[in-house]
Amino acid sequence: MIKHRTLASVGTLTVAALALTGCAGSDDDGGGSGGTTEVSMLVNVTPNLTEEFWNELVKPFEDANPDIDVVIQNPGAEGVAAALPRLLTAGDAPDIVEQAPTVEMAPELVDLSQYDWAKNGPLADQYSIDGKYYMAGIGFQLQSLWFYNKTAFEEAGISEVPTTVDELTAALGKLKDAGWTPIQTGGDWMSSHSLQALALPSIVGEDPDWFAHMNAGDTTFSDSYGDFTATYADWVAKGYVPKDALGIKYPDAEQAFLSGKSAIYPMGSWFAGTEAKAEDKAEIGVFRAPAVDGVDSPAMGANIASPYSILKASENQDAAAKLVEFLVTDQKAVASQLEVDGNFRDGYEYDMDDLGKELLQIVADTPAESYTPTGQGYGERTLPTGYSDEINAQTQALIGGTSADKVDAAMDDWFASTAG
Amino acid sequence: MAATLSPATARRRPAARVWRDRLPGIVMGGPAVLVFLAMFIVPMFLAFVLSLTDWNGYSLNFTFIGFDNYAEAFRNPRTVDAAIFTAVVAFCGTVLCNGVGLFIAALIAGNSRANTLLRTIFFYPYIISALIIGFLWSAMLSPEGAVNGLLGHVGLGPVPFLTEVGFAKASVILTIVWSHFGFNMILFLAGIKSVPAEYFEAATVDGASKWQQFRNVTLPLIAPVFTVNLVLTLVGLLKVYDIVLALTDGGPAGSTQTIVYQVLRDSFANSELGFGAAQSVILLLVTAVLGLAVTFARRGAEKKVAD
Repeated sequence: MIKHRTLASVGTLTVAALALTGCAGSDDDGGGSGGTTEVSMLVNVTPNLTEEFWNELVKPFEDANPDIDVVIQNPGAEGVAAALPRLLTAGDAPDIVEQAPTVEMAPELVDLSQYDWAKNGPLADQYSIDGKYYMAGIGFQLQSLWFYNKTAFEEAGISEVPTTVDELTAALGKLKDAGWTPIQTGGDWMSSHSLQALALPSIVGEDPDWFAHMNAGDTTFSDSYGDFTATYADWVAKGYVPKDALGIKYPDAEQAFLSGKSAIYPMGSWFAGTEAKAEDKAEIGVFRAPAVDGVDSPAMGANIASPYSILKASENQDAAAKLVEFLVTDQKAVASQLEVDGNFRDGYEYDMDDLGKELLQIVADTPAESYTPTGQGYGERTLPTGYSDEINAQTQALIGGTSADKVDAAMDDWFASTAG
Repeated sequence: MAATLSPATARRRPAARVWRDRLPGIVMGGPAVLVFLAMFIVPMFLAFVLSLTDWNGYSLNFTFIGFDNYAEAFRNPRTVDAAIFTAVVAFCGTVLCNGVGLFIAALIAGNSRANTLLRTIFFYPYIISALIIGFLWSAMLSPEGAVNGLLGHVGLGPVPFLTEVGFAKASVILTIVWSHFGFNMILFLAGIKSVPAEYFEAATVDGASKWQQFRNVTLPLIAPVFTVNLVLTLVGLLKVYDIVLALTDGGPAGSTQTIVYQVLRDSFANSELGFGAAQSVILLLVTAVLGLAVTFARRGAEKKVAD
């Protein structure tokens, strides 16, 4: 084991060094103070989730449990996902990590199945692996959403939000005719968001086991996604998706939509957090991504918000479990986490604007079984590693004018190559 | 018997004295050799070992899978595409960086103040962080960026510098050349400055034109500099990553992903450290082979200078 650890530690650095001829360093944290149990928590520190926020969040817990001292670990610029493997191989793992579990991570995590707050939490079943619950989260990040500019819809004569893909296509045509840029998308990671919002409600709505069927080879990308890549290519050809969108960065796309330069914006529910803070903005509404005619229960892409897991390497697992329980069940703690990052959970309201209330209603109206992963997926519903990058690259190809057939074939080839 | 000893054997020094003579070299060179072994050779060996595993970066219980990762590297379409684009960047970049660097160096080799200023200006992009350069050009080449704004003022339509595959590839290469040629220029300038003035005076007396002097005097005499420039640029461009990350993030449609971009993405974003290590090892071997090949290919030109 020690040999593996040494090999792994040096190897991690070497891969980076060979690639970049960079340098790597490591920090050693001090131990806990006497008399108290120190619980370290590796969390994402962002402009919204500052270290100050995290410390204030856990303060009531520390006050109620004077024998437990919570230490917030900031992963720095590399982020939790990159820092965790390094800390694990260095034997310096935190007690709690704020990251969604994966099949690769699962052996390093504590099975939380004994705790009701983990088993009955948001998306608990979807994130379970081999029937075990490795995380507990605070709420939902909805993905299959189309935010829309209410003024644009009025000017285009659209009185009802689309409830089918055909209605959505028709609405895009009306918006284009009314002089609007119908869909606001962009380059980077966000390109595939619109294609997935178009396709997944129908694909997973019709076949809830689509992820498993793809992995088993029971269906192919072109068989399941083909109609939607064709629709998307048609949208591109008709100018509903601007070809120059690939040159637009995420923040610029967001600002363009907020300022009323485009009509529809496919984005996750976290956009509501940005919208709530914006001052000079268009009047914005939201509707859930529709499915094709005949799909009774469209799937809703969603990720868990603030997923907490406990590391097996932790020597303070009971104290860690106590802290996670507080973070995912305490009314005030959950609400403040939801609010700061624009996330939602039925029964945990915070001060929100009309757009936030619309999203909360969507959460309330969505049956638990309708939630589906997007991208590469999570829990047992995962696609081969690298799928998110590939679907994003191929969506960019569609936007660049590549035909749907070629994109379908490229995706089929990619799946074939990952199957070995 | 003693009479049959060769003169060399007769002059052989005592072993103790030989070691005493070698000791300073061992003491002074030893630490460097140890550091080199510890920091380069051992990690390279361990990276090779890791490349034979399925290590995901989390679990310490990885298994050895032989050369599967290497087979995957040649089979994975994204890795193959990245390798091809990296080769294009390395070849075009090396030719352009050295071509432009040599051309500019020849133009501003004189000792005037203007030339000194121009050298500073041309070298300046090289000392700026590649990430900053990437973000800078990304902003300027975007659909609503400064370049398209200027083109719009003269009645030309927007050019999809970063949004169309061909343009994006060209944009990456030209941005790299813009940021790197100053380095080549400085090395060429140093080489040109080291050519003895008498050679040019003799060539002038013989009636050689400036072009003939450059072709028949300067170029042959800076052959070693040329070799260094070619090898350094080639090796550097095979590892290009940061400009791509900031300029295009590998897009559009993954068309500007380089092999190092792919290595880092597979290793850390996709938790495939073993696969990333395999690609790194392949890159290391390719880089070494190409570097040596260029060095050997340039031997003839350098030999002429030595002669």
